[in-house]
Amino acid sequence: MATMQGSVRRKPARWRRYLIWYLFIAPNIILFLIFGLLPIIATVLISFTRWNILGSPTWLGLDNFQRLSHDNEFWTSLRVTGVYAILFVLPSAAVALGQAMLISLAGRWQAFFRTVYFIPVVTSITVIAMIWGWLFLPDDTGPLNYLLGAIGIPPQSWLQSLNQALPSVTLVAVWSAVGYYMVLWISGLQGIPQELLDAAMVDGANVWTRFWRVTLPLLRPTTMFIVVIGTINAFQAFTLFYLLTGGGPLYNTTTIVLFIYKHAFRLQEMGYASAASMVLVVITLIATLIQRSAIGGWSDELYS
Amino acid sequence: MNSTRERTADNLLQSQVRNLPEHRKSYSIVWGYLLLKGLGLLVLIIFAAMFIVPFLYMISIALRPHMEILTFPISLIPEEPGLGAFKSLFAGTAMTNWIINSFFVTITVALLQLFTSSLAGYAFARGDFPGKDALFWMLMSALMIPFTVTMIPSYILIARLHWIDTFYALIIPSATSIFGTFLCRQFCLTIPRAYDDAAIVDGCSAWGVYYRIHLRLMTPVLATLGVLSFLGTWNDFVWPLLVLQSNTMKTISVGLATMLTYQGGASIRMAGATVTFLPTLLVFIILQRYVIRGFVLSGVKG
Repeated sequence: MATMQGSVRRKPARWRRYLIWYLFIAPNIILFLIFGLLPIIATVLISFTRWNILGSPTWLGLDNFQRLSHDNEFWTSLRVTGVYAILFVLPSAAVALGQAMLISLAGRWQAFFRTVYFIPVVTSITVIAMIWGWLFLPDDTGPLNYLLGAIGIPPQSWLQSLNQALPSVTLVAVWSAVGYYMVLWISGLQGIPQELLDAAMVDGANVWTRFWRVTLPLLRPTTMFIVVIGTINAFQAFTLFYLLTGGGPLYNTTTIVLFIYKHAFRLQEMGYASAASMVLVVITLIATLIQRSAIGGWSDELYS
Repeated sequence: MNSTRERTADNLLQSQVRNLPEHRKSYSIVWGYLLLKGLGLLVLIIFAAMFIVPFLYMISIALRPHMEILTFPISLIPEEPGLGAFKSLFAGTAMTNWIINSFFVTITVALLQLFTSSLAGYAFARGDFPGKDALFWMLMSALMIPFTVTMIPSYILIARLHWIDTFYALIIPSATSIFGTFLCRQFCLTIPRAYDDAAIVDGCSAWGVYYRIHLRLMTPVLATLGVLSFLGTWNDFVWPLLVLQSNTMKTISVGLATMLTYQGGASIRMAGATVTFLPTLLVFIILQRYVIRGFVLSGVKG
């Protein structure tokens, strides 16, 4: 009897002790459930319905996905996003690596160059769109066209051109993101023991050989990380396109997220847009897995 | 990872020793080095110009009152600098509202995130409760979720709560930070247990240990998290675009976007961009160490 009483008394005391910890994590858990887990489940469910937010959803089964497969605009957006990802990821990773390596030459000016290259990363995309919208002005009033004119190239129409719009937006994207990848490369480069590079130099390996044989292999985890993060970000591209071209001319810069945005918030097709975002998730997942197996060496180091 | 790296290094050294090349003249190495260094510096400077000149032009154009049309070339330094464009900006647009809104939302979100993240991080590091690890990893898995997947249902939820066009829509969903929780937990794990024990002996509760010990020691992590949160909220575009409607409720990044086609002239547009840009630039320059550290760490965000 006495022991029973003891255990009965101990139990609430223990739960009271747990309670304080649950209270401490409660805001995180609750908001995760409401704005993380619930929306994911909801997206899956909504993608099987027709729903214009006001009424109640109608179950459609796989109709939305069937419609997507016949929708030229959607296929265009897949192509645009794919081309963008290719044009964006490798050049920005390469330029950033170049910056990260060269910056060590700058001695005590290193911090200056790092700061300058990083400024676009902390700048609002709207500001960047404002500046580049001006730089890209067509005809001979635009600064970039003026620069081209100085070396004898006729004015380009940049964002208004069917062929140049996508590369032009990509250029701005690379310009604004490259500083971020640079600091990732720098932290990767700092992990390479200097003795190794010294040893290679003593053995007569030139800069080129040292880079390809020593630095790059040792940077594999960083490479992996940058390519995967860059690709995920590229697939999510929206704001710069929304502000600079609005998806035009003729859908030539309509990314998948722009497609989703248009159908969800302009046309009130929540179900159709959700189906498109399901496709986007699957594509992102597949791309990430392919890259992981291609480059290998995912590092836990980056998580600590 | 470490073992792989050591293995690679070892192989490399061995192969180098095996195939020692013939002696090289040290002259050519020195000259080659200087040449490369010169070229490298030149490239660095050209790059720096590419990143800095557009911003300088933005400020330069903003300082030209009454500039309607821009025809390049224009000089980088305005002939008659003045703040006329800024006056027109504040008189002709809702910029004052946007600035106040942005500061209010940004600071509220940052403070909330600092509080909830440090508290939860402490609980996940030191707490003793069933399901601790499972809950922690469940949260961490959410770092991998792209915003696009949650965007539509979150919007519908906010609409059903009648939070469209209110700051609740911006503040409540951002009141916690999973990345911040992770950062704080990692930091708390490095704080010696002895500190906790000493405080407990002195009669501190779990809250007391958090408030008197961990919170105080977490300052550098909180600085990192704070600047990251500030920049993130200030520059956030998509979510405010979706949930804010009336012009006076907009945050600055979304408000400025309405000026992209503003008819009042180029210098007013650039004045708007400058006003949006300066707070983030100042925060970045002053707290650079924390900003860059935060961005490198937050790579996990994907």
